Amino acid sequence: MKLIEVTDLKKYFPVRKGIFSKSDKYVHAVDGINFSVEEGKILGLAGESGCGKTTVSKLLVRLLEPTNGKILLEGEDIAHKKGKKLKEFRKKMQMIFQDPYGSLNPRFTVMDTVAEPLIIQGIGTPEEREDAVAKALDIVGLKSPEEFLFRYPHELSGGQRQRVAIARALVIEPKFVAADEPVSMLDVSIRLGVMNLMLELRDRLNLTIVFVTHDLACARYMSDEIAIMYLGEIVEIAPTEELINNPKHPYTKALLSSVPIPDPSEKRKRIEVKGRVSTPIDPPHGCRFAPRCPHVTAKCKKKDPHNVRVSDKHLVACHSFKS
Amino acid sequence: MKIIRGKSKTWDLFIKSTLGKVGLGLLITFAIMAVLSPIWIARNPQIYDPLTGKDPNVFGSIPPTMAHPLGTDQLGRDLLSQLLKGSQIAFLVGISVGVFSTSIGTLIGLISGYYRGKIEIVLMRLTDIVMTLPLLPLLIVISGIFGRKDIRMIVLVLSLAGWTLAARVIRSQTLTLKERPYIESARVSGASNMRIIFKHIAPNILPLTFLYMTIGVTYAILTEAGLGFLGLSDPTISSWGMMLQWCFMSGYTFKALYWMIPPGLCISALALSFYLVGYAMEEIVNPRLRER
Amino acid sequence: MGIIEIENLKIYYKTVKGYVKAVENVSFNIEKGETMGLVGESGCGKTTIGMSIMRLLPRNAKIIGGKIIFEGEDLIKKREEEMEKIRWKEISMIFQAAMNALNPVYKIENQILEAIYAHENISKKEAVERVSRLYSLVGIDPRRAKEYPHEYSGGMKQRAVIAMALACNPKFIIADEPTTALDVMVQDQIISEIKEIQKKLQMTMMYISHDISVIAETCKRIGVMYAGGIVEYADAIPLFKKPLHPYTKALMNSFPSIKGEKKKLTPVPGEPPNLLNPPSGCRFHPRCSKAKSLCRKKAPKFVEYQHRHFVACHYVG
Ligand SMILES: Nc1ncnc2c1ncn2[C@@H]1O[C@H](COP(=O)(O)OP(=O)(O)OP(=O)(O)O)[C@@H](O)[C@H]1O
Ligand SMILES: Nc1ncnc2c1ncn2[C@@H]1O[C@H](COP(=O)(O)OP(=O)(O)OP(=O)(O)O)[C@@H](O)[C@H]1O
Ligand SMILES: [Mg+2]
Ligand SMILES: [Mg+2]
Repeated sequence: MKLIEVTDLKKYFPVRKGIFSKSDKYVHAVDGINFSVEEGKILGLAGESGCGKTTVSKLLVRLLEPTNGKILLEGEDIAHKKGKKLKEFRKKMQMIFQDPYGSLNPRFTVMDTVAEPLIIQGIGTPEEREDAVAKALDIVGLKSPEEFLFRYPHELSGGQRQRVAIARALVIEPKFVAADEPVSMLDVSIRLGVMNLMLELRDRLNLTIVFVTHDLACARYMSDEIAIMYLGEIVEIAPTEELINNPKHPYTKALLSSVPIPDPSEKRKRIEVKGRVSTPIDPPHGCRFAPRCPHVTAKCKKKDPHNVRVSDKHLVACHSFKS
Repeated sequence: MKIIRGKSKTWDLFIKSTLGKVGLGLLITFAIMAVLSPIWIARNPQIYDPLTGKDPNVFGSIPPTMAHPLGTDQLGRDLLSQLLKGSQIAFLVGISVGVFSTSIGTLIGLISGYYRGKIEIVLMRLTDIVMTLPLLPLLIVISGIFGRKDIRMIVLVLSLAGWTLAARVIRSQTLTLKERPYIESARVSGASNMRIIFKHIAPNILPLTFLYMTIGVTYAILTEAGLGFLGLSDPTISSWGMMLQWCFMSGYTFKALYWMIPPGLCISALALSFYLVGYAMEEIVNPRLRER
Repeated sequence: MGIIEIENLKIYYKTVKGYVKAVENVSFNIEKGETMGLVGESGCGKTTIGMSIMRLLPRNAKIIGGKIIFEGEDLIKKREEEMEKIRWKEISMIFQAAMNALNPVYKIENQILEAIYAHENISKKEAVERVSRLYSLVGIDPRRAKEYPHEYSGGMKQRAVIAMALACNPKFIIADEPTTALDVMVQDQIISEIKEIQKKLQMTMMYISHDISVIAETCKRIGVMYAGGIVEYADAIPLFKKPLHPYTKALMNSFPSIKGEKKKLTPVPGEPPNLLNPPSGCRFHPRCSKAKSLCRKKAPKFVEYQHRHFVACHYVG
């Protein structure tokens, strides 16, 4: 079953000129993306800085309202829901943030933080909430919760903080979690622990996760499927191994070729790409990657490429690929 | 599942802070003075009333004696009486102005920082206008208009003029706080604007509020004293500022140190004590500073 | 004979809670023209070693013992004035997070010129020419030298910092996490540029990173650091083929890769130690699956187990 399905999702931010004047220019942070995630699966969303990954995850949990498009959660469109109706849906979705130092209120104890979603949603009596909190902490591997309950964030290590943030996200038993680079600010020694934890929780609780990352090796480790984003668009989406071993889009190829490999005897061939990512302010027609693409043709600059089916679950948006 | 709840440690922490203890000690001293005031006067209002009392055995200002531990002023009124009463007034003026002005400032800062847009523009212009009002001339004009100098008027004007700095600082703090991931995290869970403002943002600006409250209190006490000294305060009360004014007006300034020093000392000490308590509170409300 | 030889280096930080034993009996040497990689988790003392070679340790740091021999002379014995002549000219460093340390109010060119003037007596024309050469070297258009830091992207700032470190043609350069916090593609470009420059200028380099993949790609020789000590030091290929120390094995097994089979990885168990109060004996023993009672009692010696392959473990092999 498709737990979450996104069609033609767009988010444009107005470019601010001054306090009073809004300019008529827009940053096309997310510009018409489509994907769906089956229940209990993990979709990895990868791409370079500024390509719109965070914006997508904020749209999915409706921290932002989309400019256009649909977000179906269990078949119901939540893209423009407001107030009470939206709050009802908030029981089903949660977000984990990149910065484990900023995502916990410094004046809240672990107990306050983890219990907050329950309090906001008015779930349970205080005793039941305490039990739920203790259970959530136990699930994320903070054994002997009583030791942690009344600590403040500054009394926790980075890995422990991220675990608390995960416990908070899990305490209301959501169906869907958007994780925005949850490990990129963690030290290598604890990164893997948190990733394993998320995998384990997915298995145990049948969670559906969108895992945002700029690290393709992490994306591969975590996901069942990977979507590659470039300047607000998904350029390629495929099952993980298919995408890693059989990339079709020139950008995906370049990105994959620049990932360092933890093996000195392995010689990788770099695909050189000129220029750098720009800001998607009113981008011109045509393929966004065209100015940097090694295989660019005249058509690429004129016409937006449509998704082409490589195989059943492998889609690529590139003119040079013919199915 | 049994949970051992941490005791509220606020008091313990406060007591551990040396500066907090000193500040609190001073505050308590002044509070006792304020409480003692009516008792001291009640012994014999004819003699000890700070304004209308007069010791028939005394002519002109005299240095401390058994009957008048701090001496008397040039009219034979008891200085200790005036000092104790002054303590009451300082508390009244300081605390009401402090609480009033910081509440206004905090609320305006929070709202304009959180909601942005038109609300922010209007509130910040208002802040700018109030900020540039010349306070002293204003007070003179107001007292001129109303024909008399009333302490309540002073409290009101000081409160209405004293919130601007707090509002500006708290607004900018709110601006940065509301972008924090934990605020977004609360929003994902469905928290209302009110919950976010009062549960998440307000506690994090509490130290600033305390700081500005202590600044407000200090500023009110000092301003009232200054106004008193200039003869612009309410002449029907015996504030410390008025005591200095009387001392000055009757030409005793440096001849009667017993008259001049106690109110001067009290003004500084009370201002200091609020500052110290505010400093210690900052340590308590900020868990990061708690570890020791 | 290496260009730099470090013997039994020991550095403590004095804090209110006691001494942080940040570097303990570290020995290694780097041959001329070689790139040495120093890898280890956060807080294991990598930056401390780098800073000690530059003699730029913070005030509360104390070099308790050991030698840092650079071209036959012990840097620890040098006076500050002598060090000033060596710094930047002979040994230079790309500081951790240096791209955020560029002064926002000066043009980048002026910041590099400043570094050159401080050490060399050359004309303005020569210096400006050198800056533009450095810019081409690190892959930025020299015409952009006259811009301010905020006009640069993260990758360009990092390149400018590298240019600055190269400004006085140093013989030895320490790069402390030069690409952390950059995008993969930018990181990759910078790494390949660093490699190229290193080849072109025949520079000796010490490359510090927590990322074993980056180290694997850039360095010929690798030192694995754990809790203030180097536990293994060897050439890259043998080290990756056949790691000898249990920590090295665990570390290598905790990095996902896009090559090879996808397999479940296991993190190094336990928590990193507190260097205020490090474990007795071998510092890795609480997290080591092979630890025996000897490991708890006695710190293992750092020995050359095979040719050019040093390891500190009681139970090698
Ligand atoms: N609130 C906003 N107002 C205006 N522009 C925005 C806003 N949020 C994001 N953007 C712009 O939208 C684009 C996508 O931003 P986003 O944060 O989603 O990128 P990202 O892929 O998460 O990048 P990173 O890897 O650096 O976190 C960027 O160009 C960014 O500048
Ligand atoms: N100025 C200081 N005072 C006290 N302790 C310090 C100081 N600087 C570093 N330390 C401690 O010394 C140890 C080594 O620090 P160092 O900065 O060398 O680590 P690192 O390996 O560079 O870590 P990272 O990868 O996070 O940069 C750490 O435990 C750190 O907490
Ligand atoms: Mg992001
Ligand atoms: Mg470091």
